[in-house]
Amino acid sequence: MREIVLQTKQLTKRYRSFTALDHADMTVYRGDIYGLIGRNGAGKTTMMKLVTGLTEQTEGEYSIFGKTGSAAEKEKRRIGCLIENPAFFGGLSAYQNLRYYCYQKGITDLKQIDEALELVQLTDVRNKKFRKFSLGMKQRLGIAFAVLDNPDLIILDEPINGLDPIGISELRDTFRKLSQERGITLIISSHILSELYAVANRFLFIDKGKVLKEVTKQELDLECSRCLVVKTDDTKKTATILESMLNITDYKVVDIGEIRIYDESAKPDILNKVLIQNDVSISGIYESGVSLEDYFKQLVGEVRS
Amino acid sequence: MINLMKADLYRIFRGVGIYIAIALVMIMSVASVVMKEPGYIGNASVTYEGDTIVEASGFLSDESSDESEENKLLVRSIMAANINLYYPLILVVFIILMSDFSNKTLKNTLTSAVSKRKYFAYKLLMSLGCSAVFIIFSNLFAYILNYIKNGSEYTEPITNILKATALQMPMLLGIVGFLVFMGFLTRKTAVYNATAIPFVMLFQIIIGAIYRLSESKLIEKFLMHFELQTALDRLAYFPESQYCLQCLCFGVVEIAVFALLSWVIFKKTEVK
Repeated sequence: MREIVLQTKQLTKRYRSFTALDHADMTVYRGDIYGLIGRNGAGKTTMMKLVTGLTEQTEGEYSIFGKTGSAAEKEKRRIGCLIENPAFFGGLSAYQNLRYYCYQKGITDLKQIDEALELVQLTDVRNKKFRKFSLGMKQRLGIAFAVLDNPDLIILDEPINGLDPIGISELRDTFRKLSQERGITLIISSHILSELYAVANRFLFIDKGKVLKEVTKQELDLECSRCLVVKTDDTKKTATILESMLNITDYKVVDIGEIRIYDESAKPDILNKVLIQNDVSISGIYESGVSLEDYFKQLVGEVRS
Repeated sequence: MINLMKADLYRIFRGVGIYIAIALVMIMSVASVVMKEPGYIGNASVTYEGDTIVEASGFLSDESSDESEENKLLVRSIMAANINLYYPLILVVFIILMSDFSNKTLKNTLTSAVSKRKYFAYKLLMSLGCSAVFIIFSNLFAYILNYIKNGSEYTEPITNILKATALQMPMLLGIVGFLVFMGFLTRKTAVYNATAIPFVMLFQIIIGAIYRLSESKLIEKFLMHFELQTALDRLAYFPESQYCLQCLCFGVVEIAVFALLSWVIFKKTEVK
């Protein structure tokens, strides 16, 4: 069984009458690149602030490396964070800022600063003052800070904000490298679905403080890929007919009234004919295949309705 | 906490703020030693004469008629004007505490190094500790400078200066406790500066005005004993031990009350 790095149970944060996060459940396993997807103001940052101790929950609980409460506080050294905008001392250089945090974390191996700067390609500007950095450079320094001390878990809030396309691509490679080479678990939030899709292996969709769905990349692919959707009131009988009479095995019963067929050889007219001949009531057969954006919109729509 | 201190000292001595604070203290000492009279920043306070309150005036003109004795007490007369340190102390607290708020680096520390509780305790102790060092430095610098510039005629034993410094310390650190409270309350550079800088003058004006209007015995007692400028003036010239004890208790209570208020505020604060 995979080790759970971070788990939230019914985590809730209210600000007077406004609920920023509403009974959110989330499970992150070791080695995951976990994508938090939601629109601006969906509750992604609140979730990250709660699990990093920047704010206190109204209800619910969370565990980090299996520890809760004050014991979880002691695990902070194993976490690297970049929450909201990267914040450093403007008068200090990139190197000095990281040196400051080395002192703070008790890191004596100063090679780690060079490694972190190299990882985010800031070695050339290591002596440049932070206040003179561009937004993209600031973002990269934030990531360098997060990887300092080789944490087991890195939490990054909107890390690709302000980066140019090449910077985004390089960062994507960095995330993969951190996950594959160092075995670091990453939680990355973004409202840019395609970017998260490119790196993450598990996803949490969140909107208006509520968790909509937690899926793996395989499940997401399945949900979004081209398929034939059969709407019927008897999915069990339909499934039997698909397998026994049409030799179709690549399908999924989505809920009690819907089956999705991913077999490309399946033809809607033949399917319709065979199912009707076998007294299966069908309310609709249509082709489907949604983009990530459309999938997210559907998800939000379903929950609201 | 040691790690936090090392990190802060690394940062502080790479910024200009600390050097400005040191320069400010040195300039004030140089001016006082050269002119052989301390200068007061801000509004002159009230002080006591027997059982009644009178307008403040310098020790040298009021309290002593013996000129040689008066000369010897120059450093202590500078110390009696240690309310001047209020402004450099604003800067000390700013450098230690406010820079974290203004640069929003507080969240980095809280997410990866320590808990809110430890952070708070560290910042309070660091502010008090650095302020204490600063106060000692200020008094010793004035002493050494005076010795070099004016010679032994204007110098008394250093033990007297150290004793007077120790006696003044609780009252001055009480003010540091207040500044730390202002820092945690405002959390914004501009608001902190705008409230902390005029506070000492406004406080003196307002409490003086209230006393004149109401002639309240409670305010009279406060002004005679614990109003900062008055207290520093009295403590600089070795008052009776009971008064020293009262000031010690007042300073400790002041620190404790402001620390408690600061923690209550900081605990509820959402870090951005």
